[in-house]
Amino acid sequence: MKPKKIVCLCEDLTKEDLEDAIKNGFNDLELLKRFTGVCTGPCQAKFCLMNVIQMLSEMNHTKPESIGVPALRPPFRPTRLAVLRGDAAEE
Amino acid sequence: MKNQRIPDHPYLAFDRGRKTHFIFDGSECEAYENETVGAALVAAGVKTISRSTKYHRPRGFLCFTGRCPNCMAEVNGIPNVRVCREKVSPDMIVRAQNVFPSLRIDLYSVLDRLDFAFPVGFQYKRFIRPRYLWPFVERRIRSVAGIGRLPMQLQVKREKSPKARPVETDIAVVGGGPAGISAAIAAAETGAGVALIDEGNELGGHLRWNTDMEESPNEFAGMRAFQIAKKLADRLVTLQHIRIFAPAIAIGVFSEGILAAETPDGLVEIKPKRYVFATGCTDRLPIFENNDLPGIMTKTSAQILMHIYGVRPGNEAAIYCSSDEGFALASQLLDAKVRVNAIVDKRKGVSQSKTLETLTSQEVPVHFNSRMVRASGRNRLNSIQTSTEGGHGQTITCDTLCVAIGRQAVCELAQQAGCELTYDPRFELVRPIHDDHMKSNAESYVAGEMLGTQPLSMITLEGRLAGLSAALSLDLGDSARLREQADLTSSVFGNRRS
Amino acid sequence: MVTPLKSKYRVAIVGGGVQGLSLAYNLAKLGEKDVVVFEKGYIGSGASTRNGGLIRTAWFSEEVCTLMNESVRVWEQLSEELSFNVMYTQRGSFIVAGTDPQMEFCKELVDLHTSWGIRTKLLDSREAMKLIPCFNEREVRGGIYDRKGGIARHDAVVWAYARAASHLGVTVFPQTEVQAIRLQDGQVRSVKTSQGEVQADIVVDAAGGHSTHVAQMVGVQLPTRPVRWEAMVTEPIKPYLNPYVRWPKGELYVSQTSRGEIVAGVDSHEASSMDLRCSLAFIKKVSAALSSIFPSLERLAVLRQWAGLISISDDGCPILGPIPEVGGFILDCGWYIGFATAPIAGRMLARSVLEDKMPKLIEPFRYTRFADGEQISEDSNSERMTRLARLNQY
Repeated sequence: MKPKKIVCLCEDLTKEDLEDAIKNGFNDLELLKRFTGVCTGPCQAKFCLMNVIQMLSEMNHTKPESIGVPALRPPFRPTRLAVLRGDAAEE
Repeated sequence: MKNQRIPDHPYLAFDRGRKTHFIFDGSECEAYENETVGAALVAAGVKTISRSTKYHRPRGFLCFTGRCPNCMAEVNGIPNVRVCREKVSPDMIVRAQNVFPSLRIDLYSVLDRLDFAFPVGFQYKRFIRPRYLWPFVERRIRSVAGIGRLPMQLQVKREKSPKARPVETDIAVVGGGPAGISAAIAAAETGAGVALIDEGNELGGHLRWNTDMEESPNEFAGMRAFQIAKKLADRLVTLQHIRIFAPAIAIGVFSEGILAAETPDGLVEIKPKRYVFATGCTDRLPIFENNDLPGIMTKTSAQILMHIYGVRPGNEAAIYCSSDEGFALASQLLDAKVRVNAIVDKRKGVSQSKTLETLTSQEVPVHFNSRMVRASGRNRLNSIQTSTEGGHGQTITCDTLCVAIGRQAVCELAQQAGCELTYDPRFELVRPIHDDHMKSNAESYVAGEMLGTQPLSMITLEGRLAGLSAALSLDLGDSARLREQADLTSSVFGNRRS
Repeated sequence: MVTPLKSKYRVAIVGGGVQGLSLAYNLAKLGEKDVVVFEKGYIGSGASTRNGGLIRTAWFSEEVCTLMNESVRVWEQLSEELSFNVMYTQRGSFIVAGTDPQMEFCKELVDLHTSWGIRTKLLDSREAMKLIPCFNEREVRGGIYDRKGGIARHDAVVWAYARAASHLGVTVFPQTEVQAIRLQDGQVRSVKTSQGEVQADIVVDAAGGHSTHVAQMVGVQLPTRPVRWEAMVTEPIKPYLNPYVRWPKGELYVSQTSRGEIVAGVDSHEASSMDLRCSLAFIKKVSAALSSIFPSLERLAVLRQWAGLISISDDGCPILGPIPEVGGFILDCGWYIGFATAPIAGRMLARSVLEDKMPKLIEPFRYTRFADGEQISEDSNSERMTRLARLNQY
C-alpha cells in the first residue's frame, strides 16, 4: 500500500489530488466537487465536507465562512428504489 | 477461532439472542441474532470488509453508523449494503464487492502503486486522438468502475412495496437523541401533536452507546449516559399526542412540505406545520498518512461495538483526540478489556481531570501536544507514528486507532427545509442559523449537538426551548409556557454570553 | 490574475452555460473575438450541468431530427476540436414500444426518419431483449434503435468550451449577474452587470431557465415559461445498461454513465416553476418507472436527486435568432434539448450573428415562427405527439 492522505473515502481522493485541482483553477466548492468528484460519492459529503471547506479556505486565503456549502440533496442515505416507489408499484 | 465478544463487562449486560451464522466470502461466520453482520465480523476478528473504489486499498469499519462508504458489501444479491447496520439472518450470504479474485488478495490493488498514471481529471486530457481510443478506454473504465453488481433479471419474485403512510401532525422532530426527545416532550406538553423520527431501534441517539457518568448536579446526576437515554425515552412514551417512528431513516424534506422517512413497514410521509431538527453530528475523519487503514475507526464506532454489541474493537488500541472525550473513551476501552497503549492528544495539556488521573494510575501514556503523522501496517493497522510540535516523534504499537477529532453537523434536512447554513468558527462546524428561540426559519427550529452544543444539560435545555418555541408559534401553550420560554432563553443564551 | 471588465464589447452573451459558451467559442473561431460572457453563478451552474447528458437523433419532427443529426456529426469530433475529452460515447439509444399500436407508430416514425436522412431501425422484442437484457420483457414489444445515440459528460463540455473560447480571446465572467439591458432607438446599447456596465452592439439571451426574465429586460415577452426539471442518480454499479433508453409509458429516460451510475428523469408537467427544491412526487414516480421497466434495479439505491431550470417554449422547440422588436438582441433559448444541440447551435448561431442571416438548419426555430403560424410538431399539442401520448394509455 502506498502512503496516502485520504480526504475522500468514496472516490479515493488524496489531499494532494484536491490541492492540485484547487491550484488548477477549480477553487470554488462546486467546481471542485464536479472536477474531482469529492462530495458526490456514497457518503454524500458526510465525511469530507469540513475537511474540504478548510482546505479551500487555506489555499484561497479566505475565511471558511466564505467558502459556502453545497446543496445537500435527498436522500439522506442511499435508499433503494424498492422503498422509494412507495405505493406507486404495480404488479 | 477468534472471538472478540466481551464475556463480562463491569456494568453492561448484552442480550445477544440465539446463536446463528451467515456466510462471508464463502466461509461460515458465527453470529448472534441481535447482532449486525458488521458486529459479528468484528467479533470474528475481521478487520477488512471492502476495497476502495479507485485504488482498491483495504478498508475496514470506520463509522459503524451506516454513513461512511467503507462497509458496503453484497448481501443476498443486493449490492452496496452497509453491513454495520444490517441485521444478521440465518444463512445470509455476504460477499465482498469489486475485488478480483478476493478481498484478501485483490489484483486491482496494483492501481494503488500506479496512481501517478491516473491523477484526478486525467480522463479529460487524454484519449482525445485517435478518435476510436476513447470508446475503447471507456469500455475498460466501465468494467473497472462501479461498486456493486446487479443481475440482468430477477429470479425471485419481485419485492412488494408497502403503501406509503401519510401522517399529518403539528410538529415533526427529527432526531431522537437528548435534544430531540426534550423538544418532543416540551411540544407535547403544550398539547401539540408530535411525530418523532429516529434512525435507531431505540431512542437516545448517541447517549445509547455512551457510558459516561453525569457529574453535574442535575436530575441525571450519577446516571450513565445510556441510562439517561432510557429515562428520557420512558418519559416520552407516557405523553399524549406523540407518534414515534423508530427505526426511521429520514429520506428528505421535499418541496411538497413533506418529510419522508423509510421504516421497516415502508415509506412514511409526514406533513408537519413545524420542524425541529436535532440531527446531531458525524465524527470527522482526520487527515494523516494512511488514515484509511483497517483498524482505524471513529470514537462512535468503538462505542457502538463495545456498548451495543458487546464486541471489542481490537486488542491494543490508541486514541487520537482533542478533548476530554478521548480520556472517557480510554476508560471505556479498558472496561472492555482492550489495552490502551497511548492517548495522542492535540491539546497542549489539561489543567485537571479525574479521568486523566485514573488513566495515569493505570499506566496509560498520554502524549499532549501531539498529532498523528502516519498509520502503518501492510493491510491493517499495526502501529502509528506521531509527532509533537517540537518535532519529537513516537511510534506506538496498536491494532486499533479510535479518532475523536471534531465533528461535522448533520444539516442536510435542515437545509432542505430552507434553513440557512453558516460556518461557526467556535466549533469549526457548518450549522443552521438560529435566533434566541432556536428558530432557524419560519417553519424550522434547531437544537443540540448539531449546533456544537455541549454539555448534555445544555443540549436538553436547547431541545426543550426549540420544542416549546415551535409549539408557541402555533398558538399552542399559555402564558406560563411563554414565561418558561423566556427562562429557557435566558438559561441557554445568558450562560453563553457570560 | 483577473481580467478587468472593458467598457465595450461587440457581443455580450448573457448566460455561461453550454449554449452561451459554444456560441462564444464559435464566434471567436470565425474571427469575432470581442466577445464577453456573463454568468450569474459558476459556469454551467444552470441546466448545463444538471441534465442527463443525452444525445440522440431519433426525435419526432423533421426540423429537430435534422438539427440533432448535424449536431451528432459535431459531437463525434468535438473532443479533438476542443482538445479536451468531453467523454462523448456513442452507445446507442432506444425508444420502447410496449404495445402493437405503439409498434405501428414506431414503424411509421422509422420510415419518416429514413425520409429525413436519419438512420434508425425498428427492433422487435427479441432484438430489443438482446440489446438490453435487463428489460422487463412484458413491457417491450420492440422499439426504435438509434445507433447514433450517445452521452457526454456535461461538466466536461462546459469546461471544454469555456477553455477553448478563452484561448481564442473570449472573456468569461462568472459570478456576474446581468441586471439590465439598455436600449437606444430600438437598438441594444449596453448591459448593466453586478460588476459594472458595458456597451455592446449585440446582446445574446442564452440564459436558460432565466431567459424569459432576460428578454423582459428589453420589453419582450417570450412564448416560454421556466419549468423545474428534476433528475436522479444511483450508486455506481458494474455495466448494466448499454444504450440509453426512453420509455414513453413511464415518461422515463435513463442511462448509465461511464462511472457506472444510473441517471434518470421523467417528463415534467409543471405549469411554471422557479422552485429548485426536490419533490417527493418525482422520486417516487421515477423509482416506480425504473423498477417497472428494469425490475432488478429495485435493488439499487438512489444516491442523490436534484433539480434544474429550463425554459420551455409553446411548441417545445428552441427560439433562436434576432427579434424584429429590438435590434441587436439575439435569442438562444427555449431549449429542451439544449445540451445535445449546443455544438451545432453554437456554430449556426455564430454564423447567423456575423452574416446577419439565419442558416437554413436553424431557420425553422426562428422567433417569428409563432407569428407566422409555423410552430413545430415536437409540441405536445401536435397531432403526432398526441397520437404517441394516447398510445401510452392502456
